[in-house]
Amino acid sequence: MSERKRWWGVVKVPGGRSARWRLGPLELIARRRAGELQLGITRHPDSANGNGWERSEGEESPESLDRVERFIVHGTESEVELLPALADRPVVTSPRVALTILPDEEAVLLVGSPLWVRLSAGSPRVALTELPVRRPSDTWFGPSTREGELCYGTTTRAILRSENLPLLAGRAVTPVRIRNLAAEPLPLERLKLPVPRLSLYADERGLLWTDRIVLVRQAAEEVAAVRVEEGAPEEAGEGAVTVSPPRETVAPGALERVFGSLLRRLEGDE
Amino acid sequence: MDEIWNQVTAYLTVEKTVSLLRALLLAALGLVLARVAASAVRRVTATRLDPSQVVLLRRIVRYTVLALFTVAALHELGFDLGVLLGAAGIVSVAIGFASQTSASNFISGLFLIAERPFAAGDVISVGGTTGEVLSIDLLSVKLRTFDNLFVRIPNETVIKSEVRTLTRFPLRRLDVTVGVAYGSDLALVRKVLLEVADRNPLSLEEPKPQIFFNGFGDSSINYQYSVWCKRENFVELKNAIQEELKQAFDEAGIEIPFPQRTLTVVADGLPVRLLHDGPDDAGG
Repeated sequence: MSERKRWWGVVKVPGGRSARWRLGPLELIARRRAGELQLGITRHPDSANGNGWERSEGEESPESLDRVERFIVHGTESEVELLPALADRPVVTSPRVALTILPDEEAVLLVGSPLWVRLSAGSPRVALTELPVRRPSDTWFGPSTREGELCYGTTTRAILRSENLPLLAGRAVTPVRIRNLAAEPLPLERLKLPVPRLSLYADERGLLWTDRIVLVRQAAEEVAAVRVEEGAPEEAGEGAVTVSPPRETVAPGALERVFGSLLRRLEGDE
Repeated sequence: MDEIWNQVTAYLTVEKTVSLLRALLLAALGLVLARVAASAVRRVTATRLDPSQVVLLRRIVRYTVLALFTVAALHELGFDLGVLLGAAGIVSVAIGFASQTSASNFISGLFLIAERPFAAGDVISVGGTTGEVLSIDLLSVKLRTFDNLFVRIPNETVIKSEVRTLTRFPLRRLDVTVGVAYGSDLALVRKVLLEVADRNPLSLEEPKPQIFFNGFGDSSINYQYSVWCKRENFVELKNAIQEELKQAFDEAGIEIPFPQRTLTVVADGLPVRLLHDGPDDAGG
């Protein structure tokens, strides 16, 4: 994978110099000074920067950005590492256009989920900060306002072919294979992706992928078996490499509620 | 002096000394057993009950064991327990009359601990006082208010009044009353309200924000705008979303009116003359 196709990785920042990243609306500047590392963070209005990215090195001051943090770093370690990571909570995604999976049908949907970035330095590496490229909205996934789980909410186009995927900073793609073995159609209103349990891979185009998820809805059952197929998904192609490991590990084959359409509607009483 | 000594030695026969020793032994045994029983209760119940219930149960077990052994020791010393219990009955009636309030608080405390409407660490609101529960004791509930005051509320008051536990459920709904001018485009108002909720990351997508038409006010059309959030984000969302709402209304040209009076001048009625050509702030 050529360097210009990816924004993550290790950057050398010698004393007095700085590195700057711009990912969609997020701008980061890391500057090395004697005995310290300064970090500046700005979140631009969402529409201002589109979804592209750029990386540069120079002598820019982090003080020009909205938020500045300082870290005391002894020694002459000049490497700073910026890595993508998946969200720290599950992501609930709903198709922008209503999508129904008919009985005995099977599909692989490509579903995007928001990315975080983790900046670390020192040896051994210590994480200095971790923040979302674009802060997703909170949402609740559960049968009532009393029980459930706090997740991030996004919408997806849920496309079927990987050639149609645009290259966007701040997004990872999860291939979701859904099988509907029930006799009734499965309306896909909301889908919970257990992203803290997934690894992140990069393909040769510079697109970020997660492990593939397999969901099987058995006949007349409210829960679906969720299986994470570990390893780079087929859609990422041959040359895919691992970028970051999962945040948490869970016993495989756990039964979980993943389809929002099977939950009772959340009702707020007046 | 000799006489007293003689009386003491005459009293302390071998039999009496033995019963005195037995009584002392019983009392000592009682103390040890009460302690052992109380710690056993703590070990068994610590994972199943909340801390205040464990403390209550430990006290009950400890004092019951102590009382039983004290009674046995007194019996060993030759006291007539019938008379003693009778006297205790009269004394407890007298104390009961004298300390009605404490007794009522004590009983209310037992109910509070058994019913568990809230636990230490919860935020509750009782009769206008809102604060974090520090402890639930036998006579009172201790609160720390948000301006850092220590408030003691008698258990009887807590049992009798409406108590709101703000930290019971994971989500909260923020209700904002919004009034818009009569001339506003109501479809636009609805759209702007939903967009503001959509843009704020703390406002939950599901349960969806709700907009209720609250009626025609004196000067404005009133809406109740309700957004859901995680309990911990309530204050932050309350501040942010109202400011964002004002800004979005300004940008969309939606007016939030203040009270107005429309004056109609009836022909041939009271003559009204405009004195200066200033901005028309009467709004009519």
